[in-house]
Amino acid sequence: MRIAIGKRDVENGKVELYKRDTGEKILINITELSERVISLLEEMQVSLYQKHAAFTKEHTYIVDTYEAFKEKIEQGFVLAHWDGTTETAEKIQEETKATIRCLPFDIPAEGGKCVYSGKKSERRVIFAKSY
Amino acid sequence: MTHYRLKNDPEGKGIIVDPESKLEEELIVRPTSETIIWDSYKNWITSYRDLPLMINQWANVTRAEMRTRIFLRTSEFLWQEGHTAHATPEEAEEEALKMAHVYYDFAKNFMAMDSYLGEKPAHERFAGAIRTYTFEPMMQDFKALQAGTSHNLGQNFAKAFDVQFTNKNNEKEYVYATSWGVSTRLMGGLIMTHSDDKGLVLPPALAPIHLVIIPIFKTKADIDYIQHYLEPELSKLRMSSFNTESSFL
Repeated sequence: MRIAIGKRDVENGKVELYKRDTGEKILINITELSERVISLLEEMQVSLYQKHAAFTKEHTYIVDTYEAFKEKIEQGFVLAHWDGTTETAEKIQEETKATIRCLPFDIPAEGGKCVYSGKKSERRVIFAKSY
Repeated sequence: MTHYRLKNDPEGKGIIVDPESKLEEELIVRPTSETIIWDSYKNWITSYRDLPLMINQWANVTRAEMRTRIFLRTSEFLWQEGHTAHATPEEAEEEALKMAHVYYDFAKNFMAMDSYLGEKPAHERFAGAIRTYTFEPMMQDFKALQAGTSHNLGQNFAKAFDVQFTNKNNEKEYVYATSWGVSTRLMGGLIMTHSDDKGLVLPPALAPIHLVIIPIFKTKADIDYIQHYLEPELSKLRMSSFNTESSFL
């Protein structure tokens, strides 16, 4: 965060606080500077996390067809059923560049059909393009 | 290491060392420290009383990479690697999981970075691991960044390096191991997660400077006047865990 402060601000008892994360400018009383700065920094830590968590969730797509898979994989992570075979994972990688990132802990096991092969799947996994 | 770069084999499939990148002097470097660690553990572990043996080191390692990317994939990088040896498979599993959660929690609470925590599919496991855990944040271009991993190595390394202990029943057994690490790649992840078109954005928990104060003045008397007036609030800020910077501090 940043404040620019001159004589006039001192005389008015107020200063403008600029927040780097949102670009917001907030007018605060100079006598409350430390208190506001501290609470705004604590809020900023939380809001940066929440922003990223929301972004991640918004761009994680549950798909059940390979067509939907191919579309959504360009726009984020995909949660799809997988038959558990290396062969299928490799075919998907060849065709879409996406790889299985992990079998996430907080997605419960769910019976289904592999999005690629149609064979039995025990759970959805996370597919994504990656670095 | 005989060459410092890889390239696509022009003749056929696969990857070969680039003949034009031959090193003048061959180097012995490591991509990860298991060989040294396990060679040492062999001398340090005899009985269950020596376990668990848990070591973490901050080091540099080298990997031949075809396509390097600053922070994310560099020929040499800095990291921490933990290597633990346990008397039971349950303890090793607990440790591997614990560190995966430590990484995930650090990303969430300090880096303000969300991620998917889970197990790698079998074909993506670390060579020699019986289970690999990973946390995968989404970057702004929607790509996943494998931000760190934790492995339950079972007895594979113990068997490869012949590291045994005498257990409580006085029998010889191979130790159960884990290894886990995060690297300077995590810094790349931090940069990419929050930054915008203006530049770097860092979460307060990790930012070196939290508040910058710019005085607007014509004379030195002006600065003294402003500083004097701000001093009560500045002294409170100095006592906090946050860092304030200004040309007049």
